[in-house]
Amino acid sequence: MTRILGIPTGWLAILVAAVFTSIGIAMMLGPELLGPGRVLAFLQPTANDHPLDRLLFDWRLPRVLTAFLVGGLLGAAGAIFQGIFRNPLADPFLIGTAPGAALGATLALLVPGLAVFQAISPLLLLPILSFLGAFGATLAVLLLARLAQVRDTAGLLLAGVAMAAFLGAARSYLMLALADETISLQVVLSWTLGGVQTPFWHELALAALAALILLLMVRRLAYGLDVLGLGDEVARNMGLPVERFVMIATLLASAMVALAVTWGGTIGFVGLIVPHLVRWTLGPRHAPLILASALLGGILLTLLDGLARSLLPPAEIPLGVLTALIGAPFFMLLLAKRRHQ
Amino acid sequence: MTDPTTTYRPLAHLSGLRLAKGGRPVLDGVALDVFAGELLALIGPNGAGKSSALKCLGGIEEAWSGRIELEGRPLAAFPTGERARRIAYLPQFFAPHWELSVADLLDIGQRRGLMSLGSGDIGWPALSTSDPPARLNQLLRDLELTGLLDRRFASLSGGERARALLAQALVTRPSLLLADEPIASLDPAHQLRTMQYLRRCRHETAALVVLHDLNLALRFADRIAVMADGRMVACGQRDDIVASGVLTEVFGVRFEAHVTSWGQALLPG
Repeated sequence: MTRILGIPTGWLAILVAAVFTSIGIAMMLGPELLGPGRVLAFLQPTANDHPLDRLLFDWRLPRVLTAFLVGGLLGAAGAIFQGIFRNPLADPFLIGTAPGAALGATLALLVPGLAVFQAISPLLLLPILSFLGAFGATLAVLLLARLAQVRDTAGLLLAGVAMAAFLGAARSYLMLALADETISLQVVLSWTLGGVQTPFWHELALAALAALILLLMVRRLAYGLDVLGLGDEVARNMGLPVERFVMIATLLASAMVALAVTWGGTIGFVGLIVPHLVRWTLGPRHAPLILASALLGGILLTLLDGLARSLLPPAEIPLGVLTALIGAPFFMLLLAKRRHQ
Repeated sequence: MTDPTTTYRPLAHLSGLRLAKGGRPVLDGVALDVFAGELLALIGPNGAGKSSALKCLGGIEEAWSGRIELEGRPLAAFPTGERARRIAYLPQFFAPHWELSVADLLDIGQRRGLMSLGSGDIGWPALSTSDPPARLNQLLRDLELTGLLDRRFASLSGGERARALLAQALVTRPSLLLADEPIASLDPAHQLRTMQYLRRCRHETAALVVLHDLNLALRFADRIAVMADGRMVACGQRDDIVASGVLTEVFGVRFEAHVTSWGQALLPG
């Protein structure tokens, strides 16, 4: 069995084909459904552009690609967090990472003083505060667990759930306390429910570059995460500086979640489901797991975002609602399965 | 049985080793030499500090004070990766968090000491289950793992698990193996086979093995070290240890000696 980038060639071919298929399908979906012929015509450079092409290029294509980017980031970050927490139920949204990012982003959107800064540098403030929130929340959970001498991962998850609840409440409070007539609460709220933004092309290029760099960096964590899964003692003996490694892995995965939250709001369960599906087919080794989770997360979110745009026209279903509708039953299924074992 | 203390310089040397956990001293000035080519059994009552001593030597406990040397150099002077490649540790309890196959375990084991932060080797796959390299093949044959490579670790029997773990620890040919009760959960046949294997490969990989079974220690170890209350009470040839009466003192029971085909065996009572 040959492998490319750690993934068996056959599976990689299927995943890559699915990436393009999902993007193609998502291009057809929207308040106005398009046939495959129209999308293919859009892709062919011709002299006389169809009037729709401008719309597809400025709005639908960046939106679809952003959905893929956000899904990929969440899938890969989910795989890393599950590796750090050594628990397949760890998810950026359950363990407080994404709620932390959301709190940071809410501050960026709502605090008046910051809004001025936001006007100067909109590309930076939201991601930076998201990242600080994501990293701070995850670190707090890990420290909390260490202080409480929590050894089992279930306890760690509980600490994360408490953290997530606290951060969610703090965000709701801030939204009520800080919103005034100058800031539309509707914007913050829709972002809270999860929904992919439509960036300008230069913004998308920057985000994609950041995502690519992060993905290349976290692939170097793969073997360390494998070793971490053997337990702290064996990991230390094998030469892994456990605390420092966990810190760096948390930092990088938090940056991924922050980037995803910046462009997609709070979309739960993708980081939970996707690594599971990958593990069932490709096994638990982290080199293939992280990459395949990124691809599958992108595919899944591209399709779901397409559905969110087209199911209830002209309204859009918040993406977080869709992923929760699918993800929560999946989560229950996992719990039942674990209990069964 | 030759006395390794007269023929080799120590591979590992501990002296004045102290370790406290939660304000309580666990190790209180431990001294021990492990020589290349020997199988050294570490025995003593529960809570004597045997596991802690192993963990200090294996780079797992870091808050110790005193002296640990490897081949005459302080352990701290070794880069982490080099220390990891030279000293392998086999924990008393081992359960991987993911459903790894035997091949996965060996593949991870092969990269022992090779990763450092930010430069982790993610090349893939180091281990091909259909055509493993010759040296690995030998190890797989010796430990009867050839047909088990694709099996999940969790699905193995106790004896198979012990062999898989041993293979993972030995795959990079470390110079010292630290094994914490490697045979505690094995049936007598597997206990014997594991000890025989450790004894057979001790010229390549010396072994410091924590044992609770005195007779297996007497039968297979070149020397025996006895710990109690965080101290090294005695260390020497097995006949000297038996004759010294230190076992009765340390374990608080009298032992009756019986002569068997392999030598003197001890029965408590």
